[in-house]
Amino acid sequence: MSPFLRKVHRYAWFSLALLLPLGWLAAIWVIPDDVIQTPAGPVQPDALPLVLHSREAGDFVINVRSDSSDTKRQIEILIKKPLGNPNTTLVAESNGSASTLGLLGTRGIRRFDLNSLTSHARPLRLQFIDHLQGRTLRTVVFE
Amino acid sequence: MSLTYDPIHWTPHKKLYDRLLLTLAGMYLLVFSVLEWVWHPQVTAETLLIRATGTLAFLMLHLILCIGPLCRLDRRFLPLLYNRRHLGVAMFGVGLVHGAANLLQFHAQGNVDPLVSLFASNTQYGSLARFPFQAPGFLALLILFVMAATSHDFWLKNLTPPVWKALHMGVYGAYALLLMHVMLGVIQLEKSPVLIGLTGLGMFTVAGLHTAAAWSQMKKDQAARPAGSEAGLHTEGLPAGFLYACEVNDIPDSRAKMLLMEGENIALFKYGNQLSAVHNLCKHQNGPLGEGKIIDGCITCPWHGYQYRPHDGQSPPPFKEKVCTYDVLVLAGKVYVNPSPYPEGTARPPAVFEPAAFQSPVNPS
Repeated sequence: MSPFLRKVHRYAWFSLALLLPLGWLAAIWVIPDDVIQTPAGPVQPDALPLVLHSREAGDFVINVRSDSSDTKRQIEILIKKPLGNPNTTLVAESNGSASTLGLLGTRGIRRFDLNSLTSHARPLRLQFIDHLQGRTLRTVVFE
Repeated sequence: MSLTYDPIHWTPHKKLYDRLLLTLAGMYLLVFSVLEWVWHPQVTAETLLIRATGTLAFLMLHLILCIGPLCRLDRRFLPLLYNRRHLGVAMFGVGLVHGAANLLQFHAQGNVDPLVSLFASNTQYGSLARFPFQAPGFLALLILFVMAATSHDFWLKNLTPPVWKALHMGVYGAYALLLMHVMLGVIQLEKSPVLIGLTGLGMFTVAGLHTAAAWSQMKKDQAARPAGSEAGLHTEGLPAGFLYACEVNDIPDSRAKMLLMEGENIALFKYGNQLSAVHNLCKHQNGPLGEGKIIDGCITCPWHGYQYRPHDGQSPPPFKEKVCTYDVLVLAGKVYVNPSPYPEGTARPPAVFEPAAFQSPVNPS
């Protein structure tokens, strides 16, 4: 190594020997106390007590729940992994009419109360639709 | 390695080096994967790939940075230096897999260009806690790409060694960027004291070794300046320009004394009853010729074995490298050197002395 290069290396490393530990300490200093690991989501309705049907479809587990008198029903979706299409909307379709239940969002559990038109309709078709891309990702049918 | 763009000329040493490198890298990836699955069973294959390649590349960079100063401090580490560029290119390859996997996993699934998303999804460049840590990682990868792409001797020759060397000093910038990439990225989320400690250990080791090597080299440079009241002084009766260098006995046989005279970096070699002086820097990668020895009548660079004839500074045919030469005089056991260099490859008669009159020190091979 030439004397000039050696001098440049010396200056570089004497500078880095000061700057690197400062950066390291600064990064430790700003480590947050709380790290949010559970993604934020909307308030979910409470789960109805009975599971009438359960189906596994890809990264989803879909349960149809009801109350003890079977007057109210809800769809419960367990999303096992982050969605490849984050803008996925759930639509319930029966007897020719469609009802948008809501956005699925991120990983976790989502529950949607079914209205009177769809709750007891047969067959009940659940469609997972990405409106941004304009395509239906998946259809699950409960007979 | 060739100066034209020929393929790599594999030698048994290179093959062994590369086999060892691939084996150790493969073993690391395997062990890391197994441990991750045991500790975090829900980890996905993509996350595992990102973590394994990221940690491996960072570890390899630490090893690469340690090789240089270790060789300065202890010559037994020199075999690691010979094919260090293979390690560098492999490290870039692993880092590229890490970067590409990250880009695909976190930035390519939406409707924005992945590179735009990389720099624009988090724009809190004014905050340290929320700094977009992926940006320094990407910049470091760019620097390492340039270094990997110009690692062949073809670029060393065509860019010239000073430009090539300046380009490859970019590794220090890449290291600083990667350290902040790790500290502002995974450390902020994991908060593991083990990870923080390991990162700190790596940083202090690399910085400490470089500082120690710099200190050691500063002392050697001072020793290379002729000592004593006669040092560098013109002596009456000598032709103009000659400066006192050392005593004949100071130089072991087939070895050199390195001198710094009037800005010239000179290697003064003794072989048999002759003394010759050449420029101290090897034409290949500016290795210290003065730390080499005379083998088969040629000065041999300790870094990669390039050779030069001591009396004219030329490489033996068919090689064409040349270094500058200097005039040497011996008078009453004292050696004098004229620091004005002759053009590269100029033959100069060696200084001759009576060997029986002077006992050489034991050759420190």
